[in-house]
Amino acid sequence: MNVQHHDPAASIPPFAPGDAVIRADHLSIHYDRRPALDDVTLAFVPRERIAIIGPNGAGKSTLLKAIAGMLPPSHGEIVLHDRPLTGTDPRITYVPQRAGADWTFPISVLDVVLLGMARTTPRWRRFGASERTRAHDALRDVAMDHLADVQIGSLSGGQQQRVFLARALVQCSDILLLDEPFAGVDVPTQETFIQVFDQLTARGATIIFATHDLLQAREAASRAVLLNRSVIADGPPDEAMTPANLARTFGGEVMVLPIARPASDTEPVAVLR
Amino acid sequence: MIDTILTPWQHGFMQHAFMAIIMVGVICGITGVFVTLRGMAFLGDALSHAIFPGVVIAFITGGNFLVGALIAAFIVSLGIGAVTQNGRISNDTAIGVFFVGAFALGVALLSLQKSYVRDLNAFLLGSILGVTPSDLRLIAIVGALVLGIIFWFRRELTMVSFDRTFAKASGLNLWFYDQLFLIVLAFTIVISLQTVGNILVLAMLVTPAATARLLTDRMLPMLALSACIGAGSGIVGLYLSYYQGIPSGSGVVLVATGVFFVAYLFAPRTGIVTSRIAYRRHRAHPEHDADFLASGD
Repeated sequence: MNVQHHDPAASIPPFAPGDAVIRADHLSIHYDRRPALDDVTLAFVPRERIAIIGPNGAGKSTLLKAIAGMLPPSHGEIVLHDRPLTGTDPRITYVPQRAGADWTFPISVLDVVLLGMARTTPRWRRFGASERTRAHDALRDVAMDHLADVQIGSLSGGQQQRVFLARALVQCSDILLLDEPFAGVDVPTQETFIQVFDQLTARGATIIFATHDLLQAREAASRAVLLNRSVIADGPPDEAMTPANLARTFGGEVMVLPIARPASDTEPVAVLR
Repeated sequence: MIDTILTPWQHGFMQHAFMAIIMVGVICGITGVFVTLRGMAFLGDALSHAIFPGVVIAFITGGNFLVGALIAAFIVSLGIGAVTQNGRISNDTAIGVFFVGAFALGVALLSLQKSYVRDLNAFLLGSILGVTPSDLRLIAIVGALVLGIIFWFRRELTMVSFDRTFAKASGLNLWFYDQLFLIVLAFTIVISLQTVGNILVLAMLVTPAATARLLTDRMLPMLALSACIGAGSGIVGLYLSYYQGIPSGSGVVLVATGVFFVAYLFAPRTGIVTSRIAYRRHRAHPEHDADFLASGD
């Protein structure tokens, strides 16, 4: 597996490990005067894998879309490499939820991945050999290359999510945002995702994903941000995801149980009721 | 047989009619692929009625049909956007309100004309036999513009149709591409009005594309098939109209509809009848399981 096709990070000045590549500064977003996010301040550095955790309606998607430059802040701002973000940016790739796409669309797996390069390929020519090679490489990274010519409608949920990840990989950005990447996917897909996350962060990328799956957050993230309109807790998963913080985030709907697991017998695991 | 095919071509008006229907079939077939993939059949229907008052005003004042239709399309699309803004009225409800209202306005305006019945008939059902060389020029120029826009923005239109959130995240301005497609659709409808008429243009937009979708799982073949089915139905429908004396628009649409049902029943893999046969064969010869599974899902 090799995720380093074209490294856009090479063209960007290197930063000290503590430097934020992207941050939200007193970010508030209102829909029809109803606050979806209220005064959120967060800074993200290279090599971090951040899980944004919260119940439905907590503003996880809103936060990701704001960081992706898709939603203008009502107050505050998003700062990318010390410059306020005014719209979408090729250095940021956003992977939407699967449900938003039309999976009956007459398009092959490979063509979906090629669309990830639509904006960097001159419009007067077809996708050429170099784009195809990159798309196949990305599909190999997510163990989907054998299905490159298949119509997307025949894929399982996990396979669809992998195609989305491959489409994000060909964009070679150093900030990857994923909205509920683990929702309804199988175990092999989860493992593939974590492998790809490892490779991306190893080369200096920042990965931010939204989830309401606490187990997934623990396994895939190096940092957990508990969000319910504002930031409830922020830190390494073990420190941030305390029963008290989870109860505050999920509004008392969480039972915290000790569950026996092969790795550690008494690790507390929160379960959504 | 040869005579049957050649006879209509001896008349100049039939030659014009054939040229018009072939161009319209191809252009509607291509635009229609995006209409059906985006689930915009209702908007297509609405737009063809909504531009009616614009066309009528152009007709009465001797102005340009295309300009009248485009202005009407803009007003209606902006109106739909404004009415849905407050979130209480859904998009299809607003489309419904505007399209019937605009159509009624068009009928009212046209009724003020002396030749009302004949004109209304021509607008609603098309008057392909009256196509003039200047009409052909207009269809060719506007059609080339439509196909050019679709080719130039093919990736953007595909992205916006397949996954809007991804398109937006990639930096595409969704509003721009929605409006652009609306204009393309309005262009397509206007140049089709004279050939198939206001009511039946929807069939040219939807039916060939829907048939093509039954036959392929890929975008490019779907575009090619849809264009061919559109043009082919046009030619056959025109012969039907010539020999049976039925209005050309309904002849064309009936052929297209027939082709759709043939594909629905007999399309390789997906056809209702074909898949039954494949299933029977598979039951009778279980040793071919692997072939059967490889050929479909």
